[in-house]
Order: sequence, then structure tokens, then C-alpha cells
Amino acid sequence: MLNIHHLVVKAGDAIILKGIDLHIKPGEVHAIMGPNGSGKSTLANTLSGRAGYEIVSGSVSFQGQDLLSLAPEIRAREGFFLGFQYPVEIPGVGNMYFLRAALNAIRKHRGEPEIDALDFLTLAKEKMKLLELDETLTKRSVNEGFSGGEKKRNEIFQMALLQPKFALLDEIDSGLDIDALRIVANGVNSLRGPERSFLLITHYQRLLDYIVPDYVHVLFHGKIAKSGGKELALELEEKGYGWIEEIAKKSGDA
Amino acid sequence: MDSQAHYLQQFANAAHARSAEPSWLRARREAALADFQRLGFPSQKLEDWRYTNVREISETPFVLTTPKTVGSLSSASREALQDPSFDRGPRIVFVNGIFSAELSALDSSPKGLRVESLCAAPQRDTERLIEENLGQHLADNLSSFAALNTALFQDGVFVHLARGLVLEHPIQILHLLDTTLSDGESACFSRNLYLLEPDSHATIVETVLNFGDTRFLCNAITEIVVSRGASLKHVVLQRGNATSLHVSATQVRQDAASRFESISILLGGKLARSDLRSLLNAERAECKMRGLYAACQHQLVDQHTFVSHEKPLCTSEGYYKGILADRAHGVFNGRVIVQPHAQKTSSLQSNKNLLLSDGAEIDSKPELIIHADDVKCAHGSTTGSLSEDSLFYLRSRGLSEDEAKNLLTRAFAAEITALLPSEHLRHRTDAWLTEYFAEHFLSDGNSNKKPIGVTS
Repeated sequence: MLNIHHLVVKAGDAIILKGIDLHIKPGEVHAIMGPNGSGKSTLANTLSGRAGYEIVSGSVSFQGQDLLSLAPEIRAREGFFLGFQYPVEIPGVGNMYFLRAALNAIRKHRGEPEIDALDFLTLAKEKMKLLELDETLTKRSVNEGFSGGEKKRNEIFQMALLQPKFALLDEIDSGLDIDALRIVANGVNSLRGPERSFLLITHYQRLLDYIVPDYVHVLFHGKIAKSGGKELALELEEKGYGWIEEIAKKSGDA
Repeated sequence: MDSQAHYLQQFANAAHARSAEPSWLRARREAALADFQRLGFPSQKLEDWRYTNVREISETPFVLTTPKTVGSLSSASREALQDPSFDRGPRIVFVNGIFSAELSALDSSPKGLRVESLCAAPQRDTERLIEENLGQHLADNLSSFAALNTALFQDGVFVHLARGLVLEHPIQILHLLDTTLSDGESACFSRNLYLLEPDSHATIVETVLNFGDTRFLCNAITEIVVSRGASLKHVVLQRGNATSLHVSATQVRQDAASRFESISILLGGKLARSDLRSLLNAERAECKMRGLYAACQHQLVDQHTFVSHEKPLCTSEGYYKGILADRAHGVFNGRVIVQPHAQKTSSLQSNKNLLLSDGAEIDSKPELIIHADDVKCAHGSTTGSLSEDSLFYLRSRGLSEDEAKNLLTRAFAAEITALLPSEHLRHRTDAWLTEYFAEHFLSDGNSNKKPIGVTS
């Protein structure tokens, strides 16, 4: 599904990602954890195609395509979804209008017919229930005046509508209370399936109690310092990132 | 022939048409012509015309438009008439500035409402009203275009609302400026007078559409009196094109506790200058002026507003947004004067501009001149480009860069278009904007130009 091969990325003058290797197969859920400044956001931004990052070396293939050569909208149409850490408020752009345009762009790309406004609304309402979103959302501008929790639920609602093949969820748990976290996690879990993969980026182990990953990776100073199963998250929770630093130093020395 | 001599000749040519006019009107026209001769076309040395060069107008020997048969209208003009918002309420239509009885629908006017051709009216019972008001509300410094207009105006709209009349449906005024009908480079001079007697309420929607690709000048002067306790919502939707030249000015006089609200959409035009002025002539008058102007390529849009607080306890609000693309030039000048005795004035003014390219330019100048000491006034101006974060967000969901830009640009406009008083008008305006932005603003050759979400 997604193969990251020795990816080195610069932001400004600094090299932030110093050789990332990651292989995600269909149906797998991976989690990347790491302290502030370890390169988590740079990885998310690079994969989703945000401007301002320079690929020094390495490659990323997504379903056999060179992901990094695709414009952000083409990535989306090919089934790549980014759940934003900070969803943007866009006053004046109706939430439903925008999402139908997005869904139709994707459908058109796949050679499917466009969905009309009425069918779309039916579909949207069904997905809104899943995320326990209020129907007034259909009348509002994209994220405008949404609470932190509503914004994150809106991200997962969008994912549920667009049905991507791969979703990168960047700190989808930040700013959520326990109820909102449960709703967001339910939304994500309901989309899990043998054909769909996820990469969760998070600070906290807490999210992984609700969305149980198949693999956990620890990012440290721009490299994956350690990988393991879901129990690695618990270990990090218990011990903090200090011991990872030791491992990173050792591997650096070797 | 120099430009002044050209218009003197035009004036002489129209002598026959004037012969049927009342003597007071002929006298005013002659006096106005003398004013125009004295003033000439405005030069950029005048502060009010500093950014707007009218040489293209002064140096083109425009010929006054002549009546055309409806059968000769272009298909685009005919299509414009099909808009459902014209179906309700009285509708008065002008083709190249000349009244078309055939296209107008004035039979349904309620009692107490007069909507008619200004030039037809002086021969009937409204002549006294017109004589008392025509040209009497124009500020002295309203430029020589007003003088030229008084001298040459061909026709226009006369609206009169009797005391206490509250209109259910808007009055629709449609100007079709269609050069496919005209004989070369032509000009129309249109003159409007709207009189609202005390406690009457109306909405007037003026739609001005240019068709064809021959240079065309439209000069329009409108005088409005909103009497004590009366209320007028005045909507102007103007869509110019690459060869259209517009110079229009509206002067409002507001009496005590009156309300005047202007919502204008100025879309493009080779040159589009609009002046909107209100004199708050008695206590507790309220004035709201809000609008959107947009231009692309080498177009120029120039929005001037002026509010004079003459008496205490009046409020005014000005809010204009501009969208400039390519190498277009926008001018905004909003002036508020608070006269010495106008205590407890409240005035708020804001101008926001969106520049869609490095070559686009805006000269924004909100001005506040306060001669009273107990007032609450504020003004501000901002200019920026589309947010990169918003663009990325939309693209990351599958929208192309063009679609994302188009959507964000329309969203910027939506704050103003949302003020339009009917769903039909909002829809029509949004369709214009979508088309305009898709065609002109976003010229990245290889992507799909179809506006998203609107047509399906």
C-alpha cells in the first residue's frame, strides 16, 4: 500500500527526516509516536504534499505510484487521505458544498458518475450519525466556529464520506476530551478493513487504547528508532522517551 | 474635433428631441452644458480622480444611442431577460439607455407607486415633482460627468412611492447595454430619480449588463430622496466586459429616521467608476453602504463613497470588498464627514481587498473627517492574498488548485453576496462570479474550468 524508502527531507536549512523506512500493507494500522521535534509533522506534511519541504533523497510509493511526484489533489483522488492536526476554518465555503465537490472530484477521477446534491445529503447524514455530528453542520462553513472536538470529528466524517484507501491521521486525538476521543476512535474503527490502511501519528498512548494498532514505531531525531507491536506503546507510556534516546545513540554509534 | 466640441455637437444634434420638453428642463440642460464646457472632463490632478484616467472616454467620439427594435436584441440579452427574479413586481427595461415599453412590465404596480420612464413623465402629473427634484440634490463637486449627463440624458427611471406605501416585491430595473445593436462606438446617458415619501418602504434592484465587443460608454446619474421614516434598499448588480466604460453616480438625501441601504456588485469593465453619496440631512437617519467590486486583465474598478453626517444621532456603515486579478487596478475611496453639530454620530467603515496576482493593484483610502467631539467612528483597510493553508486543505481533499482558488475567492465574496435580498439574486450573482473567476482569474491552462458543484 505505502512504502517509504530511506526518506530524507529538509525544511528550510535543516534536515528533519534523516532516512525513514516504513512499509504498510493493506489492512494494517500503524502508529508513529515520538516526542516534539522528532519529525512527525514533517513526515505527515511530506506525505500529503504540503509545500515548503525539500526531498533530499529516498522515495515513497503509494499503490505502486511515486507519491511524491503527485499534486496534493491527485494524491487525494488516488485514495490518500490526510486528517489534519489543525483543520482550517474556511468562512464562506459551505461544508456540504465543499465535500460534495471533493467527493465528485474523486469519483470523476475513478471514472464514476457524479453524485447529485440530494443523494449526497442522504449519504452525508448517514455518516454524520456515525460521528454523532449535529445536522446543523450541513448549514455551516467549513470548520467555522467549530470546537476543537467538532473539527476533529469533522475530519473523520470527511474520511468516512471520501472512503480513502489510506488515511494518515495527524494527532487526531489532540484537544479531544474522552467522549470525543471515543467517538473519533469509533469512526476510525468502523472504517478499518482488509483493503484500507492507516497511519496514526500521536503523542499519546491513550489514542491507541481505542484504535489498536498492528505496529508501533518510535520516531526520534528524524529516524525510526524502534518498531514493535501495540505493547511498545504501553512501554513508552511507562518509561517515557528517555530509553529510546539511548537506543538511538547506540544505533548512531554503530 | 476635441472632446468638448464633440459633445456640443451631440447636444446640437439632439435639439429636435428636446423641443418637446418643458422649458425648465431645456433651461437646465443648457446651463449644465455650459457647466460642462467650463469644467471639461476630470483630470487626474483632481483628488477624486487621482487614480482613474478617463482619457479613453474623453478621446473617443461616442455617438448617442438610438432606439432599437426588440427583435434586434442579441440572444445573450434575451437570455438575461429570462431570469426568474424579473418575474415579480414591476419591471422597467432599457435597451442602450432607451426605455422599452415592450420589455417592461409595469401594469402590476400597486396603487401609490409610480415606476416609469423619466422622459415620459414630465408631460403628465408628476412633472412638478420632477421639476422640484431633478438635479437639485447633486453636490456641487459631483464632477463634470453629472453636468454632461444633465445636458444629454436620454431617459431613465422615475420612481415615486406615496406616503406610507410598503412594497412587497422589489422594483426591477434592467439596463441592457448591447453593442451588437449599435452603430459603432456609442454612449448612453441615463438619468434616474427615486422619491420615497414619508414612511414608505421599497427595494429597488438595478441590473446593468454589457453585451458585445464594441466600446460603449454608459453614464448614469441617480438622485434619491428618502423622506422621514422611509426606507430604501438599493441593489445594483453591474456586469461589465472588456469594452465597457461606466461612470455612474448616485446621490441620496436622507431625512429624519430614514434608512438607506445600498448593496452593490460591480463586476469588471474596461473602466467602471461608481460614486455613491449620502447626505444625512436630519436626525436619526441610518445609512448602510456595502458592496463588492472585482476586476481582471487590465480592467479598472473605482468605488467612491461619501457620507456626510449633517445632524446628530445618525449612523453610517460602509463595508466594501475588492477582488483584483491579473493586472487589474482597483480604487476604493470612502469618505465620511461629521459636521460640527452632528454629535452622537456613529460611523464604521471597512475595506478589504483580495489580490490574486502580483500584478494586481489596489489603492484603498478610507477617510474620516470629524468636526464634532462626541462621536463614535472607526475605519480600516486590509489587503491580502488567498490563504495557503486553506488552499492546501481544499486540495488535500481532491479539489484542483483552480477549483480551490475559485471556491475561496467566491467565499471571500460571499459575505457581500449573502446580503442580496433574494435567493434568485444570490444565485444569479454567484453564477456570474463563478463564471467570471473561472474564465479570467484562474488561467492555468490545463485544468478543468467547469465551476464546481454549481451546474450538476
